[in-house]
Amino acid sequence: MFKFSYNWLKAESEIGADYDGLLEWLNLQGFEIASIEDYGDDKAVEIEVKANRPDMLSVAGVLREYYAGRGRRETKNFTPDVPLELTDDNGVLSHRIVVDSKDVHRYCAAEIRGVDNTGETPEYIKDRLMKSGIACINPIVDISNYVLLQIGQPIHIFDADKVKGDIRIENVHAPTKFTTLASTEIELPTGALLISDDENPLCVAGIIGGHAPEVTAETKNIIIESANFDHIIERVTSKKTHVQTAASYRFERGVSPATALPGALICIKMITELCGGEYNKTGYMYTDGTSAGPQTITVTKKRINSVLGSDLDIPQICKYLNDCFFGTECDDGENIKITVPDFRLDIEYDVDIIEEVGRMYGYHNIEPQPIKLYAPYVENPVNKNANKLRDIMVGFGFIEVLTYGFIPGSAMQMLHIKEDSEYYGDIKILNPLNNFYELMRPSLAYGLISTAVSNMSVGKNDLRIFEVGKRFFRQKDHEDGYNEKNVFAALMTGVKLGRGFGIAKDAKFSVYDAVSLLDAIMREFNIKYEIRPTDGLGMFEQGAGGDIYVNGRRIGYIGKIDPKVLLEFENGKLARDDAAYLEFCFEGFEETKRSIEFDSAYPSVTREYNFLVKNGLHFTDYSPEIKAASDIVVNVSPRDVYVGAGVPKGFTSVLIRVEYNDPTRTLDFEEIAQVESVFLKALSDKYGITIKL
Amino acid sequence: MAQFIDDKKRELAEKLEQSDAPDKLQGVETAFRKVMKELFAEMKALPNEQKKEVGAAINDFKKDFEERIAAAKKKIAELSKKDLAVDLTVPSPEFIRGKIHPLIRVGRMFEEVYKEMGFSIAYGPEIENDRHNYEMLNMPYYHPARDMQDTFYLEYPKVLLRSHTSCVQVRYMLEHKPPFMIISPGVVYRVDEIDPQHTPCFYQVEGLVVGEGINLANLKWAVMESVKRVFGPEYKVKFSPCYYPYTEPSAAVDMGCIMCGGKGCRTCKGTGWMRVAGAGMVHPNVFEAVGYSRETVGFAFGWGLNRLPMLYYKILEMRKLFENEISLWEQL
Repeated sequence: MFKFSYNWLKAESEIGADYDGLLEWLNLQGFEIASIEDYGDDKAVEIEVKANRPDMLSVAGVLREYYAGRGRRETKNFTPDVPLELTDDNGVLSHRIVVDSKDVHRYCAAEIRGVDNTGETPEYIKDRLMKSGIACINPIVDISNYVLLQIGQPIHIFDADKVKGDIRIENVHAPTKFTTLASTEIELPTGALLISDDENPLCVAGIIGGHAPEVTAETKNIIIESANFDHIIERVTSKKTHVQTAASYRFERGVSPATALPGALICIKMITELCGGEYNKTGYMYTDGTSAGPQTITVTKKRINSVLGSDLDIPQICKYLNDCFFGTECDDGENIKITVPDFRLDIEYDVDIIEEVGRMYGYHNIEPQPIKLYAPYVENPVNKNANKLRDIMVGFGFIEVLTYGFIPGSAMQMLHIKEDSEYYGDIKILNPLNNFYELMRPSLAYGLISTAVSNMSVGKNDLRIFEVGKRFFRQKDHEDGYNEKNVFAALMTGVKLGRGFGIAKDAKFSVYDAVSLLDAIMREFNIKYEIRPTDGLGMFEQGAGGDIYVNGRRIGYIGKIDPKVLLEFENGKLARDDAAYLEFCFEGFEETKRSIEFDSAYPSVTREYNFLVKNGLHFTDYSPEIKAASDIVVNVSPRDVYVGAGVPKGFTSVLIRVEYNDPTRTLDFEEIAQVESVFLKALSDKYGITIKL
Repeated sequence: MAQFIDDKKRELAEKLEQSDAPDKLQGVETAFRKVMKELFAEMKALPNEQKKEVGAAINDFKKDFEERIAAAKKKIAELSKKDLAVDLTVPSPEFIRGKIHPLIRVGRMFEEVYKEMGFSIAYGPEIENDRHNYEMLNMPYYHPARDMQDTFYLEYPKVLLRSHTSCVQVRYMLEHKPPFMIISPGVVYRVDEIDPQHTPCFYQVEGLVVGEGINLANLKWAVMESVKRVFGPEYKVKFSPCYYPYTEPSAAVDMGCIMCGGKGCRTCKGTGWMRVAGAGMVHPNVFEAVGYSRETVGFAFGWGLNRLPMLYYKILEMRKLFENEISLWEQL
């Protein structure tokens, strides 16, 4: 982001300025207008500057872009005519400057003695700083900030009288404490660039100053630092210390070494004019040789057009590049040798040049072209299964919800999931937004239960909801120590079939409906499954939870949510009815082809039997006895279960429908009675199951 | 005789008046036939000179009363029709179709469009590492663009929640050779405090096309065409220069704000546009990182999928997408 006064830009422009034209051009070039503050006769315009264009973080940069749009090919020279001889003799100033780091690319230092910093900063400077959101401190500090905004060069000024001995710039070798100008103590990471004198740390280079050499109204003698520090160490230090300043923001994105000297010269001129004093005609300049000369890149016309999908000729390409201050040479009508201006640190490769040509040509002028590429289509089974599950659920009247992948740190206690459970989640987020988002979810249960109770709080008690998402778990041998699976979960509670239209009273969801749902889904996928009882998952009511197995592998769980678990949730007390839940991993589901079996031409006979079954027995275990009695038993299906009046304690009444058929003949009742006696005996002998009288 | 006819007439008329059901009307009709029979029999006994006059009177009576019976029959039939009619404007609550979440619905629309164009669908993990999420995408540890994609970290070093599904593309490229066209839909995470327009977790659909001859004009087509097919041809789309570390040239895709029709409102921050995607030609550094030659060409795009259902269903607040107020989704 860069915010500037439009009038300032206009005052600097050598070709006048057109406000609407400027905004339109900036927008077209991808510098979005983030905000505009209206000051009547002026406007403060804030533009979004992406990380690749730090050259746009100054009035000079925006002006260059404006010139580019207007075809003025010469940038404004902001360097004043101030005679300053540069030397690499570090003893030329009142304090010796010792640069001892590879992270310093330029260090330009100049000295002014006898300044008067007691006056007022001129109105125009105050006005421009204020509109850029920078507070005014005192004339010298304000001028240093002004230069930063004007040409993008961060400036630091030391009170020379407060510096004890040498000014030394070096990387710290161990984490080091530092107190900033704002009196906050920060810890510099190893490698951070620290500037110190013989006694005290003075400032964190390019990031923030300290109290020791602070410029105040009483300051008389100053040393101006206009330096260039490496963007990597600036970024790392700023991130680790959580200190970001206008200077660090620019340094971490990259500042051109070419502005170090102009920065110092502008400061000398402005300070001597406004605060008086005499400057040392010799300044110190350290340079490590980076960016010594202009960079050149060669790109072919063919490459430019093939990347953009355009048909531009050499004069057009050269015009666009020249308009944004690139030098071009082309002798053979194909290869273009391009000289990159020193302020464009982002231009490294041919593609960077191609983007410049593209944006100057105008993305809106690029004609869309259909893709002419054949790539084989590869099916994604997880995506296919997820969509199939969604379609199935929509058919059953369920509503899909999406919940966050992270859940509260207390979620495992709330769900009564114990540490030894496979579904216990303890993958913590180091920097959670708050304690609601501390853990990666090991199950979708927390999200679905929260959704259910929050809907109950607005009077929605009859719910059928589902979610398709990831569950996360630890796995030592998996990459990074974690793994995740795509799972499906559904929760149902409240009325499933309301009173009226032939229904005498509300029918409510029970755990058997969850089983029915699972069964219907598995039929759709043509997958055989079994449910085995579990005590492992504390989320379910004792005896009303089971694990879902496919091919002997546990893929999920199903059961009635323990009402005590619901009470752990805010508004959980609003839950009046049973809540049934199921969740399973559907990765690896493959729908197998099936064939249709044609019905027998002879009529079937259907009989229903009301059995008294001891609790703990499973339909899937005892019902095969019925089937085994004879080949004429073609179908055995449960119709109802009942516990209550008339059923002894510890037993359940189970109504079972049996269909008898023989594809070769019509059955007679005696035959059926005989088969009945076979399975009734077997059920009674093996399971103690009797007909309920 | 005339008196007799009048008496019968009155008697039958009274009965007819009280006939509000088909069986009663049947009774009146039977009585009427009987009266007619009697009258004609009596007329026969009259002297010839009287026969003509009385015959005419009986015939008038007969004609008139038959008409009245027919009218009464019609009226009763109509009444009974109404009595039997079912109010077909009353649905029972028997058939309720469920709903797919709006975000997934719109995501599926885009998936369908891209599948028609020949794209395959690739998935990848949400728990990622720094290498796939940043380093290989031309975002070394010191890159300032990381600020825009700050994410959540887990306790093992450099393990994080992916900030974009571009890491799926990285994984795909590490395992496949061009040409290919893929989209990678999925959940991504950013350190964004929850407010009306921000959620710490959202959805993306990213696309990657790598193969000979692929250019920026193809990218513009893929992006524009998908909007056209999902939202309709009249929809405004803007394709402008932008910056992403992993693409060069890069582009931003904006759609005209549906809330204000492009005039500028709170939702679009007064710009009239909503940023819906980032795109560009894949940076040679990315190709190099996955072991391809730097000369490889391809484009990538990434839809911020949260914005699209907002535009499609006029959902004013992004956070609503994760609040799961069932009564809202029931309206879909």
